[in-house]
Amino acid sequence: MRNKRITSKTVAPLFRAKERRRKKLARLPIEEKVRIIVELQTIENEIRRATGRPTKPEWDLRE
Amino acid sequence: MEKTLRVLNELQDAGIIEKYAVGGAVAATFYMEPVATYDLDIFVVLPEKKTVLTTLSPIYEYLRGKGYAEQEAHIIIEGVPVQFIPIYNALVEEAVDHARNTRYGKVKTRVLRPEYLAAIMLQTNRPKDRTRLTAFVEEAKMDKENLERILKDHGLTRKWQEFGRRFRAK
Repeated sequence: MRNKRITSKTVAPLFRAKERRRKKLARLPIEEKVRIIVELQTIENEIRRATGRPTKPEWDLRE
Repeated sequence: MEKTLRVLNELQDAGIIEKYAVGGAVAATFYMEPVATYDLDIFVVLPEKKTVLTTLSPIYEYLRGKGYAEQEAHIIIEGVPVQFIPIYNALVEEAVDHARNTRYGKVKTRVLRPEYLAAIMLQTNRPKDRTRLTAFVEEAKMDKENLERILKDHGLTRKWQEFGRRFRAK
């Protein structure tokens, strides 16, 4: 392995931080979570375009 | 999405549907981190008619009349692709009956409870359900007794135990 000095112990704090972030996101108000869903749709469509796959319709939540 | 939910409430008020509940990824998002999705799954109970055939046509006719366009299996309501799913088994029927009354912004709506969402994901068992369920059980607060009762009543206890062994760390 190239990164011999990196072990699962080294990355454990990163995984714990991810876990904390997921729990923090879970506590957000639903309206904020739906806004994030739309952001995820935009990001996924950017990847789809970059890889030549058809995009999907993003939600238009303008009230 | 407030406007979308308002239209769903109109469908109910007009008697086109008896009741509805938000399901799928959006319902899961009420209880966990946001889940990537492109559609809003709506489980519907249709008014009882003297026909055996369950049809979504009245919903589509009503919405077409309001100017909303269909796109494959969805109908775009106020910018959101909505998929209507008639209740298709006893678990889903019970889930809609016991849906939680809540609000999205200023609009009243009904959302499936987390215990039912977990049971439906387990029963549906597509790869994406298994992935979502793994995260869901970690993040969503569930009433353990209620979950166990639902799993037992719908013959899912063994499947749940198997899921626990294969996909869950604890």
